[in-house]
Amino acid sequence: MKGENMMMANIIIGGAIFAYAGWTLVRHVKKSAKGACASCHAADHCRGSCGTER
Amino acid sequence: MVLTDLYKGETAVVVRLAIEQEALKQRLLHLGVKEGKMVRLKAAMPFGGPVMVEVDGQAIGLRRKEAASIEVR
Amino acid sequence: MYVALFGNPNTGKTSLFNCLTGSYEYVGNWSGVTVEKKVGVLRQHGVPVVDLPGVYSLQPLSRDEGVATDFLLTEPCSAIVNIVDASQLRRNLHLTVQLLEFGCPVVIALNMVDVAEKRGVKVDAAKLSKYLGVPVIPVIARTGKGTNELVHAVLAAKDKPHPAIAIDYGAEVENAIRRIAEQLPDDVPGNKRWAALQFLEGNERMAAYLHGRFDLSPLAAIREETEQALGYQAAKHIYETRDRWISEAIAVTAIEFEQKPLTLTEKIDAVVTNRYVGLPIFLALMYVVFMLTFNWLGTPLADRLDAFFSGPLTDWLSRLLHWTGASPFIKALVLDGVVAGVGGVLVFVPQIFILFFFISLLEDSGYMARVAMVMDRMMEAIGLNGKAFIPMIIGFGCNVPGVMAARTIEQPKERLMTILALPFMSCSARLPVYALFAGTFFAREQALVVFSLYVLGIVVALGLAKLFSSTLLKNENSLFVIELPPYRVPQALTLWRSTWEKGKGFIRKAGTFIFGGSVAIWLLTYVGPRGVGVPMDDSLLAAIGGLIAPLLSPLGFGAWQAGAALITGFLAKEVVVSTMNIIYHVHEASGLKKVIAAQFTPLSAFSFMVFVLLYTPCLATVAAIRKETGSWKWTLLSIGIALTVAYMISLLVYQAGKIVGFP
Repeated sequence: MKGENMMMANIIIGGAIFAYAGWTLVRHVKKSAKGACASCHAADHCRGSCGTER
Repeated sequence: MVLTDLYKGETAVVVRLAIEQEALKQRLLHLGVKEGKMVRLKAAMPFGGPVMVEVDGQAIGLRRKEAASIEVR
Repeated sequence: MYVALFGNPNTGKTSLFNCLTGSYEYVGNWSGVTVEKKVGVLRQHGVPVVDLPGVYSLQPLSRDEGVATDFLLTEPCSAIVNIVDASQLRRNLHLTVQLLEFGCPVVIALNMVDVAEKRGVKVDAAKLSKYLGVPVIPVIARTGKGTNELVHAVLAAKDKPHPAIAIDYGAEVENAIRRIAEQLPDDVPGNKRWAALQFLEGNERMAAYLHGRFDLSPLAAIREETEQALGYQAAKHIYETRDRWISEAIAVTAIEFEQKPLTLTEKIDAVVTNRYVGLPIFLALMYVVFMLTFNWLGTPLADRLDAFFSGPLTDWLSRLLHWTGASPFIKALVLDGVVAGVGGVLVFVPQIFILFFFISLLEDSGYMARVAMVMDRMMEAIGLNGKAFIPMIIGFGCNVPGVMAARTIEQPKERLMTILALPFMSCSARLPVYALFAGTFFAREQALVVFSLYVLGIVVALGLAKLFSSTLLKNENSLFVIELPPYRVPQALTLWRSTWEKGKGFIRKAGTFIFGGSVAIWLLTYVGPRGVGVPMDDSLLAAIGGLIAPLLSPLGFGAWQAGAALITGFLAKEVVVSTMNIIYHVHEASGLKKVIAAQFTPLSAFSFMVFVLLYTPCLATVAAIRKETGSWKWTLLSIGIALTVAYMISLLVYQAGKIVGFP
């Protein structure tokens, strides 16, 4: 019983760490690739499009 | 006489902006440098660097070459 | 439908925007802080508000100004808040007139009444409102005073049709306006009269907008006819007419008592723009900043933090893991991966905050514009102008906003050169690398060594600009005009906020991307081509790092560890330190110091720092360069140059150092 609990704890901790790590990596690359918006504090709720390139 | 002939602290009236570059002329107009305005030379940077002038209580930095094409009286 | 904030540069639009929307956008005391539109929502009312870069008129001369004009041309707005600097009424009203002609409801926020009064001008808001026919609300944008009244006025005026003002421009121009307006399509933004006037004035954005819809030659012909009848440019005539109208407005609404100079500003300027001591003062200030960051204050604080991470925090975490019954794998993941990687970067928070504090101080005080002026002579010699120094200073914090800030440079070629030079400005993400290596190998001369790296970055940036300006990007029409705003004593709250907003990004990055990166890197050290839990030297990371290691060995750091750290550093430069922490299997920086002392010599460490400084802009900067130059060619060139230059200089440093006899 105790062994099973420990097993569960390991899976939960490990799973959480890897899931979070994966999410942050994807998000970082996506955000960085946007360039201009990476420096903007309003980026999260901004509805305008950054950049004036036409 | 041109703007750069003024002594530091001296005031004069702009007679003509003999500046060829359109963008620069526009910018100076935006900042209120135009015929009939009082200008004061506030400082000049060394080695032929920019000068600092005052118009309408607003300080502006511009290059000496361009300041030399602003005629004053 | 947006409520749009328009106004001259440096009149407090963003401060007002922050008050209205409860955001913490970047503010500063020079012209051109905001270079992109920012969207927020009016507190409690749910109305979207957009903050725009400052403009003197609707005819843009630079890229950031184009953003504001384009907004009017392409986005519908329900109301315009025009923020007017009471101490510079004449020049501000030139923009106001054009906005009133546009025909959208306008509310004027009269800011800097206090500065105006100190200068000897008192503006009567009620009279001004009567004269202009729109509400005028006095505000103090820095403190938020008057924002409630402003919000009420905006909500009342919003979406109600408002007659545009019509100034009489005289027979010739009025005739031309009528004839142009007749030909304009009905869907033209704003009032037709406004559109016609903007076209007559030679607004290129307006022309470009119309050009996409129909043939412009008849309109251009009308303009030409008019100019012939006038005997000079229509723009000049329109400007003069507006100026007369404004003179009358001022005569009716502002009382000028004695014109008084701002004594504090005069006194400070007498010193910092002095022809002999101006430049030395700037350099001395920079030196003090470095000493404080790396020597007097930053390093002792970082050492304390380090002691905490490596001692109590690690103990506590490992006991917690033990208690939950975590397996060796999880323990290694947390302690050797996450704590080493994230903690290794976080210990440098004190240095980074101190640096950000001084950058904020520079931005907020008004000294920034003076630095641009003091530096102009030197910048002119290399084919740039003094204004390019502002993006460079911003670049010391982060290269991305630096690249964006280059928008304020009017000349396209000068702007491009500034963007290409920017990645060599040593951003705060490179600071942990210096702090770690200089702290290990040059403990006593740490500040000096780091200072030399910053200087090297500037020298390379300027040298490259010189090269470009004399070859590919020859430029005869260099342009430099800069507004020098009055100094103001930075408010403690604003200063703290700008420091925090910049530093927060670093901490957030440590908690997100660097966390993720550390986990990934640790995993790469854990698995190898021949199984899991392999010795470090047989890991995947070693294989990847080993690919480029031979290339780097002439530079003095041919171990796979250095190669691996550099590759991961492309994603974000802080990760160089995280990777090293994880690779060298120690839980804290002080242990790491011992390990890297065995792997590097002082000379190869310096060579490594030089390489990290120069080698490539990080991913976010590359993306920003791509967006701002609009060209992959220049972006790839920028990366290529960086790699080449870094390789050459590191090689030179290491080989020359060896010959001279450094260890």
